[in-house]
Amino acid sequence: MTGLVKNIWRYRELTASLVKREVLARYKQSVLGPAWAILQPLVLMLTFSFVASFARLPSDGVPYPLFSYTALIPWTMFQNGVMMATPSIVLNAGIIKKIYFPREVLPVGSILVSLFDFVMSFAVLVGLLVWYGRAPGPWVAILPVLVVVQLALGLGVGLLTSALGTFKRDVIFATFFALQMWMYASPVIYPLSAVPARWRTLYLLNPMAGIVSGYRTALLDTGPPDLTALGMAAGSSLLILAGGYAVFKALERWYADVI
Amino acid sequence: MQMSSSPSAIVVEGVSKRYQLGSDNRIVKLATRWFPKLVDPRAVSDFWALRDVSFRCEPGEALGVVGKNGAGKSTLLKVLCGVTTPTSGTFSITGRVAPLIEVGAGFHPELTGRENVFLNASILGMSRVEAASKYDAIVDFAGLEKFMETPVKRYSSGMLARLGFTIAVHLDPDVLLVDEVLSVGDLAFVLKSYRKIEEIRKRGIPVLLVSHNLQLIRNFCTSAIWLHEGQVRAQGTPNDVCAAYTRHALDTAAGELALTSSDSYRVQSDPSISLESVRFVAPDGSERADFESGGDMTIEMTIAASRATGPLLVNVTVWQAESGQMLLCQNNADDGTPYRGIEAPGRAKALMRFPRLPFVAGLHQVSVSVSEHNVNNVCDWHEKRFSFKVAGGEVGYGCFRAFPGWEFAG
Repeated sequence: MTGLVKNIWRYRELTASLVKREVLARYKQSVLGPAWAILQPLVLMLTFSFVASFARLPSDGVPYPLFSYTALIPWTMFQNGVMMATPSIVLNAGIIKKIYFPREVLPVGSILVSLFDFVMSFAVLVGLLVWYGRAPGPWVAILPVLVVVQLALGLGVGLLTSALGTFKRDVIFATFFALQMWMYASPVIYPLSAVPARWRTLYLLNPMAGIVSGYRTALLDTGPPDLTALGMAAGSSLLILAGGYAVFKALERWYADVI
Repeated sequence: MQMSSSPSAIVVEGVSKRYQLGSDNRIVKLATRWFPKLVDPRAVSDFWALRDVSFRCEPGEALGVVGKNGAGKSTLLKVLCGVTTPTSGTFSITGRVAPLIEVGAGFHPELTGRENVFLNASILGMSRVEAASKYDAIVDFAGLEKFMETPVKRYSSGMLARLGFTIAVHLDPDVLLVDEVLSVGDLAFVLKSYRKIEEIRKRGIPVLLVSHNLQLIRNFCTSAIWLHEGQVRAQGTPNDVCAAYTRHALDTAAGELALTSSDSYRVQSDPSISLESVRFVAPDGSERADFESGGDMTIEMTIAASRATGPLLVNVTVWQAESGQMLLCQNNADDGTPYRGIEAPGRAKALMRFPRLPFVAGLHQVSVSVSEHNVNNVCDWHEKRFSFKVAGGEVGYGCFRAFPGWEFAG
């Protein structure tokens, strides 16, 4: 793990170039450009709010659009980050076969690109808060912790799927599918409080559960944070990162030979 | 990134690299392992791209690597620059490795030349500040001032090669690996590049140069190795290694391969006039494939015509196979021997005699064309379809020999 930090720091210029290249290339030939970063969670929020208007989804007393959007920001970031990281080794076969650099630079770059989208989509959240006349409470202080935990989780999953996906493309397709199911296993369209008590511990093994509900605590002032949920999220995220990195490094020596 | 410390040698000890060839199918692979007798052993096989390769390249030394395609030269470079891991063996390289594995590796087609300079520099481990301080020198060396704001997808391959090479040599590398990259640029740039590599080598940097151009290896390198089927077949001075390699290439299928290379073809535009055969004969009239440099050789060509022809011109071109260099290209009329042509359907012989063969050791390819009336009206053209070998005459570095008279006065 210290190796990861050390390599990324040593190759920070390359990481920065890759992120810049990715962001520029994504927006250079599109009309809406950066607006796409906002559009994705926004359209999902509108869809879910429409469904909620007749399906009576619980939202802990928070207006449903605000309730779902607060969760969709971190969820979209996580999902996009993993989805970009997973094929990052395969897509950069050209460079990997010719030049050596620590390969983790590629998935790290993908995760950082998703952080860029994340920041953009916060603009809409500010608008929604003003519209509904709400403001974050003192617990907004945990926001940086949530972002860090979430980056660790996204990177851990991304390292694992990009490493495995290099050998078998099935992993790439399976990841896209698994992410869709993962969203329903996380409190994005319903609150954590809706989960039956006897399944709660099992449910909280999903780190996105603690992270997503943590965002609601931080941004919507819905009371003190659920420390069990947060602790479990942080713990399992770090474990996933350590495991993902170990697998990534163990397989790294074969990448240039198999892609 | 740390600046170069004192340069140290490239040391390679017993490096092997195995690839698995054949089926990518897991079931076939398992079946081969469990029921080896049931499965065709060719379905999955090992291929050793490198086998027990050892050598040293000291600081300030330029080591040439020769060998035919598939001998393991590129795999060796990939191992040395860390792209792939050897199956067994060890090697040590310290500091920043500047690999010139292929033209434009690491360029992004959508980004401009300027953006790619910084991207490429960062991939090779150069900081932005460092790259910025060298930017002007890079642009100037590459000679691409006017194109730096153009996306590199609009660059020609020569421009890409120039830019890629320039960035790599401006990295202040601790080790320089060069793979045939310079075969593209124009002559002036190639010369400038070799001066640059020479300058880097003289600073005490080990340089590894992979090339098919033996002339270059002889002139430029201080030592050489010959890789053959993944193994080091010879090691020593560039002259000895290149000579051993040339001898081998001439003696084996590799030599024959050159004869049937893809640039050999025939175009017969006028079916009524054809070149039937070309033979290389010794003074005793016997057909031979080997000649001594300075010896007597006659090229005997048989032309057949199914009608009366006008004046015919026979044009002979001789190429040095290994370098692809054209050594001579001349026809009988230019040489002051016009031929009035074949007067009735039938055959005629054309003899071109070299009383003192002006070529040096190596394989030579020959193109012959027969034209009617003027040299542009080609009837039958055989491009590089014939060849002969020459032995001896290894004088200096030239690929052509004159037999001048010498005189000394005073």
